[in-house]
Amino acid sequence: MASLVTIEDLGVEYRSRGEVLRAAHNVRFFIGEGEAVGLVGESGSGKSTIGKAILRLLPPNGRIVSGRIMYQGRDLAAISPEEMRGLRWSRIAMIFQSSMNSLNPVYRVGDQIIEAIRTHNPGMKRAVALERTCEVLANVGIDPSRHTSYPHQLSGGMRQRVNIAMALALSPPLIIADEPTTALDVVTQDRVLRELKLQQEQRRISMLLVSHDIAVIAENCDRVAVMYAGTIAEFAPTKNIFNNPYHPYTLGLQNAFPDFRSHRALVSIPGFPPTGARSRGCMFVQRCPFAEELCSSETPRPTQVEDDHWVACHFTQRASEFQRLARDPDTWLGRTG
Amino acid sequence: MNKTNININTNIKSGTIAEPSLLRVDSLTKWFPLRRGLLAGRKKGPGAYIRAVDGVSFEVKPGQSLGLAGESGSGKTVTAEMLARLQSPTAGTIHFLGEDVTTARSRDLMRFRRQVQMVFQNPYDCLNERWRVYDIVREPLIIHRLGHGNEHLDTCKEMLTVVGLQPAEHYLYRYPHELSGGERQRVAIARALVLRPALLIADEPTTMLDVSVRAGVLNLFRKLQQDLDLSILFISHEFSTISYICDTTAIMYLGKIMEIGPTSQVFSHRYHPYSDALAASLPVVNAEDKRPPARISGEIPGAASIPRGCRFAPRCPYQAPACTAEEPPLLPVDSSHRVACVIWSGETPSSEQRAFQENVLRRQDEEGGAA
Repeated sequence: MASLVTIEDLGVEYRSRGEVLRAAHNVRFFIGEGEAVGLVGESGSGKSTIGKAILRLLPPNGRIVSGRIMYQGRDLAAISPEEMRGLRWSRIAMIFQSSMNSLNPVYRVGDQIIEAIRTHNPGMKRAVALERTCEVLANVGIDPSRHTSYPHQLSGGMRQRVNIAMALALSPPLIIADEPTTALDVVTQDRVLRELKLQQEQRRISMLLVSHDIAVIAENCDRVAVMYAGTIAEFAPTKNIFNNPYHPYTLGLQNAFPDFRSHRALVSIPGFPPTGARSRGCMFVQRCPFAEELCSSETPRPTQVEDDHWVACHFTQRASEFQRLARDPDTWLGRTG
Repeated sequence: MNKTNININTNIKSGTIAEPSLLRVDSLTKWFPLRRGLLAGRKKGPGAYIRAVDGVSFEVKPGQSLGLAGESGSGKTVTAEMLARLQSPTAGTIHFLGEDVTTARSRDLMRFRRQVQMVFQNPYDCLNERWRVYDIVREPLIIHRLGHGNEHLDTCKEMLTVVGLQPAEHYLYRYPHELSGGERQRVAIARALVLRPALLIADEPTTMLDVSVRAGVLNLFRKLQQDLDLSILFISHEFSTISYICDTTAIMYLGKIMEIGPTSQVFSHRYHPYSDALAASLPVVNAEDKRPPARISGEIPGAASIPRGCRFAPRCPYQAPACTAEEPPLLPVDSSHRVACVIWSGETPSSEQRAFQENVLRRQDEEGGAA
């Protein structure tokens, strides 16, 4: 499969009060054409930073310090802000968790979508843009006549749908969706995700879905990148991540994730996630039950273990042993972070 | 540890004596007037009030844990706040250890609060940033004038150990900003437990925590139940966490309980179409096949405009004329499981409703066969 976006050794830093935080370090993965890639991690792992870096929407104290973001022959990390502005919405659209509150309260929702369409298509007649707007609203399950509504007249779920419609309006090849349904109730979340997924598949859009919810990622993505402390611990097709994980962190996450359909005991990973990347060694070393001396002294490089499956761990050859041991809760008891 | 206390309270105001419930709630109601000031309550009819909690009844037995599940706007948090006496009910009663505490004041209220403590959702908001962990955990002892100052240190150390902050000395003199989210929530739990309450009310205590840390806090709740014989009222919108902690689960919708029963039954049988829709909406990690969409329409309406009859009827795929005529009462489907739905109480179910019934009964049989 041809890849649409290739991220190579991306590094992002935030500076605050003279201190430097390495929010992303040596990040590598790709998004294939028409494919949904999930970026999963805990708060502070840098998953939103990656999304923002691709869109070049990092806060003023954040900057890309290394690497490339190759997209349709361009390096998004290097192009000018003007060029980037031209790409947003038309070539890369975005949906954020807070999007539902980002609609302008004094404009009708339809007008806001029309404005986005016409900004990128100067000279397009309003009537044509309106037709387009109604079409995308219908696509995400909103009665097109609601284009005359103001944001406050819509529920949270409907406002998030309006944002998805806006993201689709210019038929971009790529959508970055950062926790798009986290603020919604389960029933609404399920419906909104189904609509997003359907449009993504039908239009063959590539999507980067950022979420802390492993189940949401599992259901909606073809590939998953597991992030930990600013680095990619494991990047593989979704099936592999869940059926044949190599990285001890991925293994730990599986034990810790509650599911009402099963009755197994939950096992937590000892300690807590660090913020930002360490300068040396594996990021997970303090919490890893299998860590050895090498892990603190040398940073593991991503190793290809199977087709399309990369793992940043020194001991990939011991994966089956890890998988067996990880199922035993006692394995995770010994260390404290 | 409170089993011995149950029969102590013989000065019962309501007259009924010593049924073995720790907490009993009858028709608990909280309506917020939409107008404030002089005109409050003047306007009558629908839309005059937000009916946040609209007649909720349940009981919690000693050592038992009850889960309240539902979407946002279902009234779970307001219910918890009334139980902790942070909100005063519009109507209904709360009995604790047989005593009516609905309107308890001053010393009675203090006595009640010693027994009922709360843990909140956000561990970043509920701890005083300027206090050390020791001051935070110790404060309830000072407020309730329990023990001497020199005993407090030992009590606090013990509590920190109970909640898994070990060694306790390592945490006592640290400030909240030095702690992670999971550690903060454990401090909040230690403070709630330091009075040795009989009932802990936990409102979404793990929602803000990261997955790898959340499992640890959930396991702590389980351990507390067993080791301290603590009763827990656990509120969450997540089925998975409730099913992990609670013996009994109540599914709330727009201020009413739609289904209540043993957790395993509520989640596996799902007698109420709303319970079924909620469960069907949850994403699955290891799905073999594509999960079919839940059969439910629309979104939860505001509590100021509660539909007539069954409040879930407008969204229900099995709606029939009988549903909008009258609000279905919570009726038993077996000894410990109650459901508010005409499918189980009506005389002549429609063909759709009968199909739903058969589905539920089949799930029940399958489980019986498996077990």
